[in-house]
Amino acid sequence: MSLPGPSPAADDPVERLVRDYLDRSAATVDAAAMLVRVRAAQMSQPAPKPSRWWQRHRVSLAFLATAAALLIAFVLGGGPEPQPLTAAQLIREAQQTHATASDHCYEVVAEWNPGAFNRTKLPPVTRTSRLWTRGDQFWISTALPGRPPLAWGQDRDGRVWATANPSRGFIYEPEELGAPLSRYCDLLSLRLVTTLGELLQRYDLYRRDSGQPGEPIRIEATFRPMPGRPPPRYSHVVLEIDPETKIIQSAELERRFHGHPVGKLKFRLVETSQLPDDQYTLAGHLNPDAIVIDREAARQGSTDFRIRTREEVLKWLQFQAGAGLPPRK
Amino acid sequence: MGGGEPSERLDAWVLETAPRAVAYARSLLRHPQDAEDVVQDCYCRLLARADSYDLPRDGQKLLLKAITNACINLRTRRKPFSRLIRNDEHGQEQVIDPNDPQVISPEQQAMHGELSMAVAEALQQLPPLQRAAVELKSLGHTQQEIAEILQVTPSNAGVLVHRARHALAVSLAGFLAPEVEE
Repeated sequence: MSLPGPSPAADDPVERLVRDYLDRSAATVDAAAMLVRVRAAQMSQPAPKPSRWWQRHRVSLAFLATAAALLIAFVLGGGPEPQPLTAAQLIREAQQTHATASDHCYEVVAEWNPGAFNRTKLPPVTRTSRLWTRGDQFWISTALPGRPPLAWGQDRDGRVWATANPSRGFIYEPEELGAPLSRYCDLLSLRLVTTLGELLQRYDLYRRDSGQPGEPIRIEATFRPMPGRPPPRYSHVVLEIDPETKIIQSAELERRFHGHPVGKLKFRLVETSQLPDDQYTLAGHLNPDAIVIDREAARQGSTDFRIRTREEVLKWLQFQAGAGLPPRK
Repeated sequence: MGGGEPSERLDAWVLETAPRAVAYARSLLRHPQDAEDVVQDCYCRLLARADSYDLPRDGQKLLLKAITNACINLRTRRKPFSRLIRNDEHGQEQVIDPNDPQVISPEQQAMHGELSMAVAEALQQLPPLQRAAVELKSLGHTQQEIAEILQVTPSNAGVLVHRARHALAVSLAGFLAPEVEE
C-alpha cells in the first residue's frame, strides 16, 4: 500500500514491527468513505463567522464591493462567467442526489464480447434486467430463459433476498454473500461510498460535455494504476448526468480480464417514481403465507431440498456477480 | 498559501493521508469509531483553513498534531468516568482503562494475526505520548518533527521514543531477533 509522508526510517527492529502494524491497520481504512464523511460534515456546518475586523467594516466593504461590481458590469457589459463544475464536483453532487429516498429504475444490460469466453469455455451472456434503486437499497428483476423472472435485492440491513415465485423466498446475511457479490450489490445500488467514491479515488476524471445549458453532463473515468493495488473490475467508465437534477441518466462500465476488454455493463434510466417501501424487501414480493428460508431456517429443520435450493440460488447470484467469469487472480 | 485551493487537490490529499491518519488515531484510542470521528473532525478543521496552509505540502504534520491533541483530550475527558479495577492472576490490582480494552474483540482477533495482536497489546501498555512518539518515529518522522507534533521539546521527544522502544523491546522479545532482546 502506498502511503504518503516521511520516508520510513524503521531500521530499528522494534520500529519495524510498529510500522508494519500501522501499515496493516492503514490498509483496512476506506479513504473514500472518510472523504465523503468529511465533505458531508463540511456541508452541514454553518459558514465560518467573519472576523472582528471584517464585522467592523462589513457595511462599507459591502458598499465598495457592490459599487465595484456595478462598475465592472457597466464597463464589460456583464459579470464574470461562473466557473463550470469539475467532474469530481459533479460526481459528488450525484452521490448526494442518489442518497435521497426517491426511486430510480434503470434498464441494465450486460454485454460480453463473444471472443472473451473462448478460454473459459463458458457461453457468452447477454442479460437485460430492470433495476430499482433507493439510496443504498435496490431490487432487480432478471429474465431467465424458459423460467419466471427472478426478483432479488438488498434491504436496508444489507441482507440479500431472492425469490422466483410468490410462495417461497430466500434471505442471505451479509457475511454469506462473498466479496464479488457484495461488490456487485454496491454497484447495483449505486452505493455512494463504494462505487462513485471509488471513481473519485482511483480514476482520472474528465468532463466530455461542452457545458452548454440543457446538455447532459458526460464524464469519462479512466482507471489510474496504483503500485501495489490490484486493478478494479472496471477499467473505463462513462457517466451521463442530468445537469439540473444530478441524477445519473446512464452509465457504461467496461470490464477487463487479464488486461483485455471482455464486455460492458450498461445502465440507462427509464423511470423515476415512488415505490411502496416493501418493494425493497422480500415480503413485498411474496404471498402472506409464503415460506421464507433464511440462515436460521436452513440450520433448523428445513428439508434438504430447501437447503440445497437456497445454496443453489446463492451460487447463481454469485455467478451473476462474476457474470460468468472465473475469479480475478 | 493564498487563494482558493482546487478542490480535487484537497480531495486527493485527504484520500492519500486518511489511511495513515485513521490507523494512527485507532492506535491512540483503540476505538475505531471514535478514531474515525476524531480524524473526520481534524480534517474539517484543517480544510476550513485551507486558504492559510498548503495542506497537500505541509498538512500531514498539522493533521497528526491535531489528531494527537484530539485523542489525548478525548482520553483525558473519559478517564474519571471509565476506570475499573481488577485483580490479575497474581492477585495484584490492575487499573483497567476501557479506552484501552485489554480484551480484544473477536473481530479484531480475526483481523490481525498473532504478531499484530502482540504489537497492539504492547503498544496499549505504553502511556499515550510514548505510544504516539514511537509510532511517529516508526513512520519516519525526525525527532524535531515528533517534538513539534507532540508539542514537547526535542530532547523530551527523544526520551519518549527511547522509553517506548525499550518497553516494546521487552514486551515483544519473543518476536525480535536475539541481539535486540533486552
